[in-house]
Amino acid sequence: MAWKILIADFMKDPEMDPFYEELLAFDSEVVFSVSHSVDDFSVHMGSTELVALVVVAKDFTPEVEIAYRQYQQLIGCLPDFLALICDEPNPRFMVSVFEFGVENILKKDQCVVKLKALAEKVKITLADPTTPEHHAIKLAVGMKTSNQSLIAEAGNAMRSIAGEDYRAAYFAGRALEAQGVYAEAESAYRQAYSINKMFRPGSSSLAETLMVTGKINEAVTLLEKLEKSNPRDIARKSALIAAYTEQGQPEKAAKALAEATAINPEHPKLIEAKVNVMLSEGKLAEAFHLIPKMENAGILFASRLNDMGIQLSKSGKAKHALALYNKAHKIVRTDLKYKLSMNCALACRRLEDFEMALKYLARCKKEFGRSYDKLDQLIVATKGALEMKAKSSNEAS
Amino acid sequence: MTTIAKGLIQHTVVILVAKKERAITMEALLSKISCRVITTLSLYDALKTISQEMPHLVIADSELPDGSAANLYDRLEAHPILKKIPILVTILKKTKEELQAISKRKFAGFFLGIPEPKQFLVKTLEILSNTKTSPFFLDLDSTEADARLNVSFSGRVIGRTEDQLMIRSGADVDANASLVCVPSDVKYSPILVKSGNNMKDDEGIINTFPIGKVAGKGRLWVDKMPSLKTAASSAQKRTLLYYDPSIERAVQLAEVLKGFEIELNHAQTLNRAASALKSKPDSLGCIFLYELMNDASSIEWKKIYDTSPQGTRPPMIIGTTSLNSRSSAETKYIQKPFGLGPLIETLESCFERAEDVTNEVNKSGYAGIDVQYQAPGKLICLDEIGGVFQVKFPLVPGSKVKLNHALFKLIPNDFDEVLVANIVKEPNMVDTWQIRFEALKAGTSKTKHWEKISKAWDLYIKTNQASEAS
Repeated sequence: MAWKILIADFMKDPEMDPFYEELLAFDSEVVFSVSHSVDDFSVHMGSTELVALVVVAKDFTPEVEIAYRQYQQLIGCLPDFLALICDEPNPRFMVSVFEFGVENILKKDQCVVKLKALAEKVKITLADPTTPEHHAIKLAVGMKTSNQSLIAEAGNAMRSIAGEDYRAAYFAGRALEAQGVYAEAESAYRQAYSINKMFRPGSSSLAETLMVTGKINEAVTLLEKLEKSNPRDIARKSALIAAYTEQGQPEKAAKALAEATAINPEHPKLIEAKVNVMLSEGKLAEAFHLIPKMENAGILFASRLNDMGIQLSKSGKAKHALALYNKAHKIVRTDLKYKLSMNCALACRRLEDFEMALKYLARCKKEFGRSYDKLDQLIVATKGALEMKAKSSNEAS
Repeated sequence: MTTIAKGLIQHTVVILVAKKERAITMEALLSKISCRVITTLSLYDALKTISQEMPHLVIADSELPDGSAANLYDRLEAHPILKKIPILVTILKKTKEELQAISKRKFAGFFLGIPEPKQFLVKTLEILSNTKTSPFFLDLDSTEADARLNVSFSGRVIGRTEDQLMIRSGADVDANASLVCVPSDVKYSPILVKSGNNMKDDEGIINTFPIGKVAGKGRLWVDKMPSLKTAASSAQKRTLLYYDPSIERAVQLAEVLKGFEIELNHAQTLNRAASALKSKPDSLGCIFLYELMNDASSIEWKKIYDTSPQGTRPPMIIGTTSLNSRSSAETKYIQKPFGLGPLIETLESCFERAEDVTNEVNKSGYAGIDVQYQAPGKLICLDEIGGVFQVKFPLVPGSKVKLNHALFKLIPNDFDEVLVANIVKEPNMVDTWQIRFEALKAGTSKTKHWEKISKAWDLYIKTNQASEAS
């Protein structure tokens, strides 16, 4: 299998054409691909061979952010496997890509030599089972293919060296997050942060898991500290909006919302923040209306949705909860879909639609990649409930 | 086969002429092509010099006060080592005897009469490039010998701050280097360090590495080290003097650096930067020049910087697009374009002062840990004073390193400490440098050194062949 390095050039820079020609003809165990559109880029990102990303850009456009964010979501952050080709990035551009762990910035006229060296590094690093990169890619493949065994294997390998390298600690966190173990994920991200405070993806992941585990004050402190060097990061502003709302600080939340809206009102993370706030305030109809505009929603949203759904079900509105979960299933991150399927099954159980519940449970198993205790217990219980219901209706008739 | 990088090795040429005036033009031409030139005026002096210097080429007049070029040839030919030195002859009188003497011997070439400068240079360069770096040249790269090498130098971990690990050593480290650091005491595990910077004080060099990037099993003992409270690490805010003609870029950078507790003091011209340096040098933690062009204001800036008192003069970072800029402890070059991480790491390192670090280390009473920096390399060749090896990071000329290779075990002590004489970046390979080193110990002649190398090589080849056969 040949590993792939993807070059994303959304502005189709003609000066790069001769370099692409040379790189595409590069005969090696590591191959290059070039993508000129976001749709094509997303197709490439779905491939299990893709390991490294290089973006060609002059400024931090929404497309550039999409590229790095998708890489972060699907693979994580491997600083040595990320690069930007830009002859003279301004400081705002530098700090924006720094949020994704990008430190290698290349000049156009040096890119061929440097990228060939990157290919060599990818080949050597991934062949070495002691490197964090080796296990990170294994983890990414596991997450893309919903293979929980692979996720667990990669996660365990990372945990064994988490104290030695901030990257291993960070990826241990990612593996634990993918397994739904958020408290332990928080510990792993905390370890990554304590080893290397400059590593932004680690800090951001820590902040997000702090919010999920209910440590809102600590999350706010961390987010505000990161905000100082880059007040233009909408993902972080969105997290702050949700955190301020949880803390009962609506003025601060409104200020952050206004600042984020001024930067980019259509940013998917901003929409996610608004939906989180609506769910916290019980504004279901408004949230319902905005959810289709969200993309790749994260663990915080999934957690809020869970809380909301429980409240709705308890107040006899299980149908509303089911509709909410189904809408959210379309836009939540791939590795979190199983949670929504589980929530759908639970809502169907409350509606006593046990057949539908079993279908959702089957979908949950497929999305998670295998069985787990809670799932198995629920399947048994639902089958039992279905039998009881059938028996009751036979007796009644 | 690896080509030796141009400009890496300086050739030595001995000129033997009957009259000093004859040498003037040749000296000038050879200096132009960066040769080291030694002029002798007699056969006797030439033989003495050649024996000491082992030059790469001798250029001799055919007729000399105390002999001839033919005599020179015969004398060198009789020497087992010196016979390899090529001789280029200038035939001035073109008599039958001269011509006969020359034709009977295998000179490297000859000129009939005084050559034109171009002709002289072409022939000289042809001969020098034919002998690669030297007539005494052991090209490991073209043999089947294992050319892998381990380059190491000693250091001592003296402490850490929250952001940086400090190691005192005898060599500067480069920001591109990834080095394995192996403690002498086996109870401490090795660590991998990268993105290094350097400070200097009266005791020598302190290498600094960002703590966040220290990796490996040894991370555990690094984490347990007490943190030094240096002035820079304790400061609420550090001040950076930043020269950049672009106001927009400066405003954006100021915003970014605020988040790292760095206050930016912008100077739009070098003159303004110079004024800021002159008026309040004590308040500045570091200077960052986005660029430094070759113009009048740069010259003025350098004058003011160089003449400011050394005790209060802040370190300087200069943005550059040149691949060959070499940093020193006081002036660091950061290659553009750069990522935010490398910039912050360089700034953090620059804010520290070696004297302050040393004081805090002494106060803390921390014993320190002896280490060996190690990095893999490739031995390219050996010659009469040292040789060339290849590594993935630049060493700083003047540094002393140890070279470990099976061949060197046959010549104990000779390669325990070699001097890095010159470095050149390989033009077609990323992050690869050729290092010219000198292994010649004080008091040892080049001929003796080369004799040892040749014997060791023969033994090394025999031993390898025997082990392969078995």
